[in-house]
Amino acid sequence: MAENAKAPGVAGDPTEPAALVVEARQVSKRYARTWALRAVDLQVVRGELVSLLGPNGSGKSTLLRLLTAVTRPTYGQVKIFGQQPRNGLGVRERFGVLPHQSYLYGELTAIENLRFAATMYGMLAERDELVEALAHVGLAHVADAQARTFSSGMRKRLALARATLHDPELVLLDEPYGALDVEGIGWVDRFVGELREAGKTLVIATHEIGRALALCDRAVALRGGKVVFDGPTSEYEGAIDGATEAVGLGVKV
Amino acid sequence: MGDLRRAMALVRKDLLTERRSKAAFNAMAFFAAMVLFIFSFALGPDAPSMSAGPGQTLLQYLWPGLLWVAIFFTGILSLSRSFQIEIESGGLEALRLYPGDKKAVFAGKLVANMIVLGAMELILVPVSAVLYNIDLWTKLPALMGVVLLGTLGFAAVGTFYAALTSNLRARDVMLPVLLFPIIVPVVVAAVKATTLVVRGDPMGELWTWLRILGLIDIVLLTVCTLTFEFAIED
Repeated sequence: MAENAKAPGVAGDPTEPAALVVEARQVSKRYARTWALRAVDLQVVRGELVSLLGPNGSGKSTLLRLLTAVTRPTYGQVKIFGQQPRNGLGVRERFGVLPHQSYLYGELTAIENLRFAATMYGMLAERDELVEALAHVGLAHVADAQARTFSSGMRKRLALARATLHDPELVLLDEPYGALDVEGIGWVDRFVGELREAGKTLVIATHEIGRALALCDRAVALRGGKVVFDGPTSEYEGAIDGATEAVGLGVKV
Repeated sequence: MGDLRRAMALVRKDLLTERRSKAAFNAMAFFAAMVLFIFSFALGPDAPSMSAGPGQTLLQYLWPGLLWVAIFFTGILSLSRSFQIEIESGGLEALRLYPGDKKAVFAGKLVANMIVLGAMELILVPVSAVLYNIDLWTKLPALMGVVLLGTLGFAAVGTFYAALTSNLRARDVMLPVLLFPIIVPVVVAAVKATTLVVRGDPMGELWTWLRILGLIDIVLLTVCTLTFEFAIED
């Protein structure tokens, strides 16, 4: 899919190794007897916004988990900033993740959750900085409330604040619109817009095709663990037109 | 330095969570009390011991072994809980996502487990001594040393296996099944050293058993620390 990485609106030249932020080559992942991903190639260059689309079980989350090195590929190789994310020196500090599950500690307050994450990322964050990060996602008023008392939307916003707390260059979002009401969706849209303006590289796995196409430069559609489309979002509709079955969504954009 | 701060952050986080939920400590305190009473009822509070000197009851004679059985059985609850916190928050992936050496995660979890187990032992040891009428007070410093070394070996292997089994559906069964065979050397050395502290050490064997216990701890700590990253892998 390297040729598709040269999408319009891309901030870097993918032929330059320095601009290549994400590089997955022939990546496959098998869970027991099921192949979640089959020989997937993905390249993302600096400043690019890429959406991963596909139905449940298509391999979007698995691909994100491989990129963040929380699991190993069965075959193939993943590189983030030119290094293996698992062993690369200083790689994990350069990306932030909004996982499918919040990974928040319910007994801790919002600010304690952020302080823990900040320390784990090697930061010495003062309370004012953490409150500012919470204010950025509209949670400053509940800074000292325990996370278990939060609604799913608030948990998502807190997890977003945590994902970007260490000012990462690459942000990977897994279903950022999941379980959100209209107001929550607006928060995520604004947040993604700000990250884009700040020049961050984003990979977003989502079911929200319309939003993904509006926000991102490039769409990568997966089905059955295989890439069935990889190209500029402007070409997605034409390519998928009449072939929604191939993407498995059954929804025409 | 960064990894030391990460380990300390984990200790703070786990202790704060435990202080607020009291999930492990309440269960441990109740279970420890049950174990002590069950031993007392099963063996009989006044049953004379055939092996010990006159005036000593069976409970007093067996106290070193019973103490460690109570510590290990009760401690399982705390060890299991330490990774249950992570599972409730979504799994071990969060810990894998953070940068830094995963040995820091092991160190943080181990220290937090040691503190919770230590708090439980601070109650269990004197209460069992009073309950079984054992004169401990002059022997407390030596006993604390033995308990510390025994707990370290137990907690090191326990933390490792609690991580390894945390993703299993049958983790509550698998943890003791995997853990107890490995800690047999710790049990033997800890019970022997405790017996020598309580009953006296005419042959000067205590120091030898403490060194054996310390050596076992070093081996277990080294192996668990070096292999922990694989225990929390997907």
